[in-house]
Amino acid sequence: MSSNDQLRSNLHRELVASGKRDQLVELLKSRLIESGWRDDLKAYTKERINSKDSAQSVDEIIKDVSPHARATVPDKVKTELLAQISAFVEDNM
Amino acid sequence: MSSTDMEALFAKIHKDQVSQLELLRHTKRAMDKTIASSKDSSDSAAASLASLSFEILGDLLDEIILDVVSEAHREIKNMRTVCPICKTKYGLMDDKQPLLVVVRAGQDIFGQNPQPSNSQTFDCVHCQRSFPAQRYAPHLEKCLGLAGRSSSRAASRRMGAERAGSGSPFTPVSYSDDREASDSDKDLIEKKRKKNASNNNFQSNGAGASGPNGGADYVTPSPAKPSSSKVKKQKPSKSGSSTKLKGLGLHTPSSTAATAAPRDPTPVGEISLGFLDDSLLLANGRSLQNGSGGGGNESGNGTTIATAAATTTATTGTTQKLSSSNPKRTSGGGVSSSKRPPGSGPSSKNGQVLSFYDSLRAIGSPEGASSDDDDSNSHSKNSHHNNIDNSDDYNGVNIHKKKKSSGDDGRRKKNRGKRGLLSDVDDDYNDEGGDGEYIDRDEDKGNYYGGDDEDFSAMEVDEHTRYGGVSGGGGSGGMVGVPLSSPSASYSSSSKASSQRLPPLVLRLKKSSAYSGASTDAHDMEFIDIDGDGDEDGMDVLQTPKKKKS
Repeated sequence: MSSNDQLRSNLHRELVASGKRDQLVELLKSRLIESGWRDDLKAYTKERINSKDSAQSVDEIIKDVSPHARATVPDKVKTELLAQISAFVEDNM
Repeated sequence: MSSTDMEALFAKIHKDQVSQLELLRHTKRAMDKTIASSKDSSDSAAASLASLSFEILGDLLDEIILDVVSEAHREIKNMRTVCPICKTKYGLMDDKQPLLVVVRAGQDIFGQNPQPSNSQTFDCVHCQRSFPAQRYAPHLEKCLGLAGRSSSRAASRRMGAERAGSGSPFTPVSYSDDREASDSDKDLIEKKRKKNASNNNFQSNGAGASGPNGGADYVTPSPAKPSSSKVKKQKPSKSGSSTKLKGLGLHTPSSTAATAAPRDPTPVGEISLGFLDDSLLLANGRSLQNGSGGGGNESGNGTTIATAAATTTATTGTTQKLSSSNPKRTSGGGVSSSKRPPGSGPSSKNGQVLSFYDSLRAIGSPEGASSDDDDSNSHSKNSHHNNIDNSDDYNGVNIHKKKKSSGDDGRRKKNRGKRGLLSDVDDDYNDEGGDGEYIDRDEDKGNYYGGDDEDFSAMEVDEHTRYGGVSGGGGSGGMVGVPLSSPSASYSSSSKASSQRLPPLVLRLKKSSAYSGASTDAHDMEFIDIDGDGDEDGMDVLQTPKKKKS
């Protein structure tokens, strides 16, 4: 509801303003690269693109690839990030 | 078994299953209710911490996925298009190599490491800093103060600092690459050194000016405009010239030139310049060159140093000469051929550097007999000539507008006596003697140091700067390397004995001996503007002097 949405927007604003969001993005990026997830995803997308004869837009490709991408994120990385985020959310609640 | 038993068994099983079924249904109903109720409250209820976190993580992941996908998409798109160069699609090349553009950090698009192939570095001889090959020359220019005004100022400052620590005016840093350096030069340098020690303390402009110039000349033979014209200043021995010299800065205590010399690799130039005022020194470090060339020639020339502040062509060269020439100068007419180092150039009659004009003079003029005359005449003319010359573009080349120095040493000497150092300068410029002293660098025949023709030729430009100690001896009247850049300025100043500018240094090393055959008169060769080009230069040299004479 609006309160819920309001809550979410406030939280998001707080996240960005404090610079925590950028930090988290960098952290996630580095973890995913280390784990090889990025290269795997890239290869997967290329396959997907090549398999489709018609030219696809980037948005379509994203939609096509996202579920697989999210599912293949290593659990360790997931838990690490979630821990940081929930800590931030709690601090700001 | 009895049928009854079987029936009982089946009945039991049936009952259990039915009860289970019932239980399940009940559960389902209960759950449905729960779901319904939870849906109602989902909006209002605060999202759980976990769900919020999960949402945020989802956002971050989306951003990263976007990056990856766009990269992959771009690569594939590029590969699929036809290469505009080879007109082939990916995969159609013979070698089946992917036409990929490498976008990796630290590599260029071909995947190669962009290391500079030519990475040879050199160490500056002056400041001992290391530079790549392409930057060495420009740095050296600036380091030695040859490049421009600010560079010479900076270099002068440095010179001053350096000088403080070293007492020897002559500090050759490295002459290995100096083509000008030759034995004669070295002799000259030695002479200069001694002279500097005695004279010294000429405060050249900006102290460092002379230094760099001197050094510069020495090291770099001629290129660029003459370095601060290290005007060779004759020792103040001449009373008449004393005033002039003052202007020149001869009397300044710390002849930068002298001091600079020691430090700089081109000590030669340094020494004599001492008295050149800053303006002179600023002239491109031509002096170095002169110094080298003048080494041999210097010997006898009391080269007058006409330092045109801007065009210190003579700089080092001249300075050297001065030092050596000084003694000669004082001797006056007596062409100090004797002074000249044995190796001095061919025509160094008086041991002075014979300028081109000198040689001409030699043909018909007496040994510096009428040097004095010339001086006087030239004086007036000098200013005039100077102006003309100034327009010269001799950046270092013309330097020697020697005026009259017409090789007659005798003449020179005379003039010298009269006018003192400065007078020489003027004379040279005017080339009253008509000995064609006015030499463009091209013509130097070793005039500068009267004797080392060969040296001069090498350093054309440098020679100009040298001031072949034109010591009255041998009409050569020391070549005064008149810095071209500001000949007019220098000349005018010289005539006025203005303190700020040293008169252009006219290197006229005329050897009396050489010119003995030439016009004997001191001003035999009057520098007449024959070709009408407005200045006294090569074309005009050949005219016989008409007048002049003091």
